[in-house]
Amino acid sequence: MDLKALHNNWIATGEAEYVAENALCIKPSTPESLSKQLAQLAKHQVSVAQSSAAMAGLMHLHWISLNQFKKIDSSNAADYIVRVQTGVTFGELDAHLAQYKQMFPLRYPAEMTLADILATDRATLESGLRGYPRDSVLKSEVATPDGELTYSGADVVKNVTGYDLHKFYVGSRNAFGILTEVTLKLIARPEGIQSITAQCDKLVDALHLMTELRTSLLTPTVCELIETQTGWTIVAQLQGAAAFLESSTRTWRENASSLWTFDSLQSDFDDDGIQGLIDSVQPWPQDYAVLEIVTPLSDWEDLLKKLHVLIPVDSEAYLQARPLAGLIYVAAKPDVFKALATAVQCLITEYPQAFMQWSQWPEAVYTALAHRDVFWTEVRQWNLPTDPLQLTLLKNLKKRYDPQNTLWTPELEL
Amino acid sequence: MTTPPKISQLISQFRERLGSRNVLTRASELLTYECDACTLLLHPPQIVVLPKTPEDVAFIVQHCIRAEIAYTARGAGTGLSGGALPVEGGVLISLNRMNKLIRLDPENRTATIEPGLINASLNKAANPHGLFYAPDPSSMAACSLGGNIAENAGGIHCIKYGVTTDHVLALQVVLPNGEVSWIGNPTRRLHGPNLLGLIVGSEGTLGIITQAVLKLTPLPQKTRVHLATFQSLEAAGAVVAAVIQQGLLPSAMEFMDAFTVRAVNTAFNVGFPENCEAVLLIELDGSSGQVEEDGKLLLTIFQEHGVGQIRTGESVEERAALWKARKATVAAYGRYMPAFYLHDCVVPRSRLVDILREIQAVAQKYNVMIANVFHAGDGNLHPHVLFDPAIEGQTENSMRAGDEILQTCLNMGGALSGEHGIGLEKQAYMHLQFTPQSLEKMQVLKEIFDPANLNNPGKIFPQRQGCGETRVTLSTSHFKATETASAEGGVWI
Repeated sequence: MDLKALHNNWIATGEAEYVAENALCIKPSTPESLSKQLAQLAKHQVSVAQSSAAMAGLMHLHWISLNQFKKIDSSNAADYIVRVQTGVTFGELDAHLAQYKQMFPLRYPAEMTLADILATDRATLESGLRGYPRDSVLKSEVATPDGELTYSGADVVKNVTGYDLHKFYVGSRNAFGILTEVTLKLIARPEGIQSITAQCDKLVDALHLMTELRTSLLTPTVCELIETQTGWTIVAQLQGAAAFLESSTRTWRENASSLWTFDSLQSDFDDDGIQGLIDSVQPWPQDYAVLEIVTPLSDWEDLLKKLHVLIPVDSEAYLQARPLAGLIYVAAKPDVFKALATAVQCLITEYPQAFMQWSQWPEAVYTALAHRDVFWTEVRQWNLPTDPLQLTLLKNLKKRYDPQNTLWTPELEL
Repeated sequence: MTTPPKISQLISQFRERLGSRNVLTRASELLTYECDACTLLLHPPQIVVLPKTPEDVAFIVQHCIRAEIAYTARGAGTGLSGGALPVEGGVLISLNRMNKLIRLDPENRTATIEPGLINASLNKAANPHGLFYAPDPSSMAACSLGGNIAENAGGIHCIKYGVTTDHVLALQVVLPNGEVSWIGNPTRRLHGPNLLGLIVGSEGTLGIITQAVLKLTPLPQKTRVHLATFQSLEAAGAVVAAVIQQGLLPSAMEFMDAFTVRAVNTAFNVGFPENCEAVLLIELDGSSGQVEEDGKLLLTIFQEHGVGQIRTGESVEERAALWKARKATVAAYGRYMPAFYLHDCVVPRSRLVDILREIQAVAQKYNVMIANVFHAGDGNLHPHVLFDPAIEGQTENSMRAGDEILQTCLNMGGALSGEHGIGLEKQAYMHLQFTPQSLEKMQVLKEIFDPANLNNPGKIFPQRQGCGETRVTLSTSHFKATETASAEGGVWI
């Protein structure tokens, strides 16, 4: 069957549709259909992109939407695990889990699909304390261009049987296969959520407040230090048993700085959540490019101070720090970003364990990729190991798992 | 097939590099390395080498590649699945002498170690700084961290703190092409495809770990152990399910059946209450306030499920006394039967009562004794099938009983191994958990890393395909008496 006939066949069965001239969105109804479609595309040597890349403006002639993969199986809810297809959005999953007083350890925008979260192993505000999505994936089902659906892991919280391929697929941006279903490890939904904020004019004062919070007996799940147009804002969140939160924060408030503002204790997450609060503070628009600097916990404060001095006041660039994870973000307009990145790179050479990588925020990656002439190569290489041995291993794996190179991943130079 | 001249040449090359004392070739010297703590199978190496540096390891691997001789790395030999056995003979690389704690960085909560460092030694160094290394296999007093990483070891506290893979930041690995590579980053998880998560738990089949940067965790402010007795397995199982369902996250939740309690009391006089069918040991840790809050909830759960006796331990000594019995179980079994077959299967935690009933039925069906002590908090069972190889038919019955338990676990949605690995012991069962296509994808990974298949060959994957597949042949002569095991120097689970 030629490609055109194949398209028509898929369209007739509701498994694809044209979304623009010559741009075909493949909408498989089942993981089995997806693996067959991938195999047929591979046979025709036609590459296919994941939907988030296409949505972000990197339009491709063939792209995949997993929107029909909506199954959530909580038959093992008593075991604090859930089996879920990757077309499910975070909001859908979270609402489902709330019935069982459970949650995924990390929180995302409601409309984001698990496919997007897992493809990038997307960090969140909670990652410093609770890790990354990869840490919570117990089992995966993956569709590959050889037409197979394969599995690794198991529907249990502890398992060392076979290679942990699910840990490899998560974060690989669909370069080796497309995750269609995962089993996730869950945690108890907190009965109390307490947000705390503070604002200061100067970085030095903000850092003093950060120390005050860090040395308290409180254990924030989220702690973010954000540069604004007028100074610095700290946004933190505590989660836990309501009575315990109430008593521990009451005790702390008696001695803490008066700059701290305590929101009322909530019994569940807001729709916008803590990210909404941060978004309302964050001064930079979505089309800014964002660079991520990874520092040891011992260095982040010192490095932040130096970056603050380094970045010109009139550059319209902003800093943000995630102290629990030792992360510093530099956000800047794409047209000044490259020069800024070069300066930052020079500065961080003073810190042997610090390094720079592209922000894990996919929007920022796609922003950069959209400026193809400036960033294309850098971005595609920054998410890969620099060691040529490891790069060769990855390239060889790509050749075996995707021999026709039809799984198109703009973010990886494989 | 290995030819003697190649071996002779390797011996000369290794002696020149490492010195004669670090190259073992006499049969009496090799005997130590013919098995690990899984004494079911014996595979003596042809040469044992004792490198001291990563460069030594790379040198050994490079020469093995040139000679086309298989090589296998080994830590402390406490593995329970035959993962470190040189199944094709060849060179055994013992990493015991690479046992340094290279750097402890309390500020960044990391430790850089050599693979031969004993797990407990790291904790001894980290504890004074208010930190600990969380994965704590029961063999932590003897097992090496390199072996822990290779097997993705678990332990009593992994219900709360995660298994080894959650605590590895970076690895220096001698890859099967003989090159040394750092995988991961000591500061933080890297973005992009993750080779680190593949190496951890790959049972030494994708490379040899020569250094590692490990994450350390702050010691909890308070720790309290609760011992609770129950009149039925069902009640104890229901408590485990209730603890999980209520969202409590204990740092440990261990189960011992009545037989096990009697055995440890008899052997070690630990004074555990015996008028019960099951004992749970549940440890809570965290801030003082949190432990108090969780403790109240736990006691309510106990009472709702007809708890018998409750004992608590809070000081180091009190807690050690309660844990002593748990850690001495295997040695205690030796008083009842001279041999055992230890399993390591997993079921969803909500199925614990079901699987315990099934195990009882299997024991009756095959007329064997099965003792249960296990990590209830994560559904990781350790049924010990006790038997006497001298009694005709008992070994075979024990094997059949074990097979049936494994199959039952898988039928309940479980897994073949929770922490001991597949190694040689369970490779013939892999097709029960994975489809042929899934196994093939895993084997592709092995081929990419190790195209010559010289790095710890013959492990994890079934070696013969199709319905003619047979499990590892276990000879009665391969079972060693459990009487020789002791709490200090035997088998741990």
